[in-house]
Amino acid sequence: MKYDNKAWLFLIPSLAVMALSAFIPLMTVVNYSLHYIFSGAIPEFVGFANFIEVLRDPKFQGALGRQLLFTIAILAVQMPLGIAIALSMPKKGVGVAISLVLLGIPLLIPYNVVGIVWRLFSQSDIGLIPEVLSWIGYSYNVSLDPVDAPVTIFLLDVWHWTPLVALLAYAGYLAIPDAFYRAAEIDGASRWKTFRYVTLPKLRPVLVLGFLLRFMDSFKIYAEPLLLTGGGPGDTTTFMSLFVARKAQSYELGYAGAASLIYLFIVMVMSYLFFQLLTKLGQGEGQKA
Amino acid sequence: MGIVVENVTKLHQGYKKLDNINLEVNDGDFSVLLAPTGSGKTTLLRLLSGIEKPTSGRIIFDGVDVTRLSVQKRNIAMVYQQFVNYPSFTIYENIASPLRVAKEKLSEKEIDKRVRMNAELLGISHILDHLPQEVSGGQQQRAAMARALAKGTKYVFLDEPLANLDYKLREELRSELKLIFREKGGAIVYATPEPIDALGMASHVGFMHKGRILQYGPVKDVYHNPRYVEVGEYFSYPTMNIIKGRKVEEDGRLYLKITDQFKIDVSSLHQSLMKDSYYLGIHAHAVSTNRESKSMVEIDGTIELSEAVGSDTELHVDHEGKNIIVLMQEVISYGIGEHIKLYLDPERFYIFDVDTHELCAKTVKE
Amino acid sequence: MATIELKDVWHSYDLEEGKSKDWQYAVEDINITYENGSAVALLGPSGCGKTTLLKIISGLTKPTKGSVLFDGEDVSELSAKERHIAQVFQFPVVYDSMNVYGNIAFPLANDGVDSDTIRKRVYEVAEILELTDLLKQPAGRLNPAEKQKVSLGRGIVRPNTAAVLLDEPLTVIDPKAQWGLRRKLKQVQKELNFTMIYVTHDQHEALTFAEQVTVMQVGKIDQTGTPEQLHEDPHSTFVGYFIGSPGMNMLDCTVQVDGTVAYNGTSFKIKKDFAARLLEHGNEFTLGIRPEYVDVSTQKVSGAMTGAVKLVEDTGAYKILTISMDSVDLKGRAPETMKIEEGDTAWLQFPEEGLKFFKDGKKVI
Repeated sequence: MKYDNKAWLFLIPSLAVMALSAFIPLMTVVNYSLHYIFSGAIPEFVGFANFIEVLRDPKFQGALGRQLLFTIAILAVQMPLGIAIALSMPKKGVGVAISLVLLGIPLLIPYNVVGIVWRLFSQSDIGLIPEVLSWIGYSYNVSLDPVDAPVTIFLLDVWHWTPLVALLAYAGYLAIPDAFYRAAEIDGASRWKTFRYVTLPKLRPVLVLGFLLRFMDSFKIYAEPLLLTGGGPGDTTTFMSLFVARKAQSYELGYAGAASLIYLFIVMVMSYLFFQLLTKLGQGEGQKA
Repeated sequence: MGIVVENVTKLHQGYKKLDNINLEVNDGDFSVLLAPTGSGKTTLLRLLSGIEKPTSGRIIFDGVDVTRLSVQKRNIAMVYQQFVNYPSFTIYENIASPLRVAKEKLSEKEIDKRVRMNAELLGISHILDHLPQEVSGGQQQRAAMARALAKGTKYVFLDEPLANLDYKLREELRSELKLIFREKGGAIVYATPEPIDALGMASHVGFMHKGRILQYGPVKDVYHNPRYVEVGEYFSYPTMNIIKGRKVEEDGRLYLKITDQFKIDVSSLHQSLMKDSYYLGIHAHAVSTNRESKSMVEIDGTIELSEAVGSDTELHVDHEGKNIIVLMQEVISYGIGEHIKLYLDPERFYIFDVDTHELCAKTVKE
Repeated sequence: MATIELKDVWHSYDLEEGKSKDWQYAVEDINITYENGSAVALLGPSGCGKTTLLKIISGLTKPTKGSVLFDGEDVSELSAKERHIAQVFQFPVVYDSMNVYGNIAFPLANDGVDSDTIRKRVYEVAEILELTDLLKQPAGRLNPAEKQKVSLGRGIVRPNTAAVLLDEPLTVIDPKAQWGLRRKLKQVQKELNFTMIYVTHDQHEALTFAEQVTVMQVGKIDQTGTPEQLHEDPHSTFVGYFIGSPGMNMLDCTVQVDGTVAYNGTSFKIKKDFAARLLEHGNEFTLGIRPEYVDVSTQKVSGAMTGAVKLVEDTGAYKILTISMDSVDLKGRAPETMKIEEGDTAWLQFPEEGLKFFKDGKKVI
């Protein structure tokens, strides 16, 4: 049809930008990953050798393991917490505006600012956190303690991003027609059952979105650990993106290229699997008919 | 002069939304496209207005081929099912809007005259300074119609304009529309799934089924001579009863027999009836609960449902597994399961071929 | 099943929200009794207060004044669940994540009923509603008509349900499927003998479903009666206009002692004793006569009024005529066989049995 064709023309600017900022660099990375690069010398084609080296490297495995653990913890906490916050927010009146603003503030602050603010909070000598924790007898040291550091990053992320889940869930919650809750009340459903059979299924589309966004975002966390701990102590807060970036910065471009492609592949596969799983989950359950 | 649709086909993702449509609407006609949802009537209207273009075929307005012409150039007006009004304009401004963007500049006085005239016609003069959301659905739709008429185009297309209105409003607007459009001149093409719209308002009716026009003609002709079972069944108020019967010979006479009680003498038609079975059709209002003449066929039945429809009652009766609908011209309720005797006039039947669905004979005298 | 009574019920949303002046009543002076097991309808145009009454009966809204009684007991303080009210909404409400069996079993499961009893009851209900084949299907996949049946199933599965309230349940149902659902609703009501209260603006739905119909207008009840009573004996001009298709013709007239009824420059005669009864209430009235009772003839009838046929709408079964007499338009009915065209002159007579007289909108005789 005529007007369908015209529509494609409108995409050209976007496609051009994408080509420049994403596609071409991607091709460059693919190119790197297949070569052995040593500064100054001519790159040598090595096929998949880089990939094998990356996968065998215990440091890579360590970073990947830490990343997976981090992301799982994030999802396990932020999703339920976000939903809980959304459900306890007021639905009408002046409280709505206040809650929305309070939730919005963490989201509006840029990553690096968040990182710096939390660094100030957690710094051993002048920070608020170590001071308060010392009152209960806990000696907190984010730059030396291998538990304090990742936990701090974790809490930072929860503070920063749970509001996103909460806002999505809130919007979805408001969209649920009141009739469903009245029906559940008439049917004698307990609060938990009402949540499970009315709220949760109706929130599903929005929660899938929230889940995928949090998954993808947390999987590439970069600025906050960099600014807060520099990846340390040791490599306890060196997650995947920092790991790959460091490799690239030290000119191991072949390694870095291969590592980043493996990284991309993992994210894509996991996103796809999660999407399939979450959209099909829990359809048509019920007692055996 | 008028609208001519020539061999128009519209394909959509491989299948035919409209299949070889041929239609002629003359000046002064009020043509209703009658069909259940999904038969293609909206698509046909969109092709006539220019919103969509046919895959093949031509559309001609007053002798000019307008097939490739854009909507704006065709000079037509359209009224939709959803009351479409500019929400930030008053009703007055809404009606005036096509006049303000018209090619030939009209004076403010002229615009005012036309707006008021059409508002008067549609009975909304008293709400001209309101916003669309401040008035009822019925009034919003009247405003949309006034806007369409104010434009002063020769052809006006309406796509199920009464569908979203209350029962009572529909009833009132139906009568009004017939009178309003009569004053107008030009031609109207009106799409609807309600047979009573066509019966009440139209001069011509076209019955559509799966993208084709099965029959088109003056309302009386199509009503008394339905060419296909689908036309007879649908283009009827409330409906035409269609029941399958077998051709049998009994006591030297030829019958179309449905049950022992229910058999119609068709001896005089034996030359047109060569097959073993046929569909018998009889209008719901031709079935009676009183014996009105000796020749009527009497059958026993049980009431499945009695529905009050305005000032009439629709009775759904079961006769040995066959469902028969009777229209009674009074408001009366029967209990479910009650026994009742029905009387059918053997001279009010239409006979359709079981395979081709075409009308092959009728006992109806016309 | 219970007998439901509304006693002196008045409700104002404005007052509920705390407005202290310019408040209005959404419903006024409501007194109705619905006998146990009856099929009832609340009929009226949008804004007439029928939804408010439904909310008051179900317990969602507590009336500003008056009380709600179930089987004689005041339930005004009880919630919907406590009153054992079931409700079917305008759009189908089903639990998408459960199958049809799970949906219908839900209320019983919440009540702690044992699974064998649940199973038996769900199958019973499914059979009545013709849902047995769909029990294993996820409820979200059903079409709207089927979903409404599931909603209804949940409403009737508990044996101690006092009443089922239906709030315009056919709104999103395809016209073709509506007949089947209407029939099913009526059948279920008859078989299970539930008190079912059906709220709608469509007289077709109301008059088909209910034995007792309450017609409402602007917060007040105009009349409660059987479909025939409402049709034959309307207590107000509104009921006369709203019921029937087309509605009753309304003409402003004056009555004189000699039996002359004059309107719009023309007149006809009624019996003197009839006129005498009317004159006890004054001499200005609104005359109502249903189109189907107007006697229309194409042949001259002496003493009859004349008019010009403005419009003929032929439904195939009969013709609806719009006849204009000076500045007034009247609607009449003519049999299919009558030869009458637009532009013809028609002679009209009003048989006395078909005449209704109203004053200030209310029935006089």
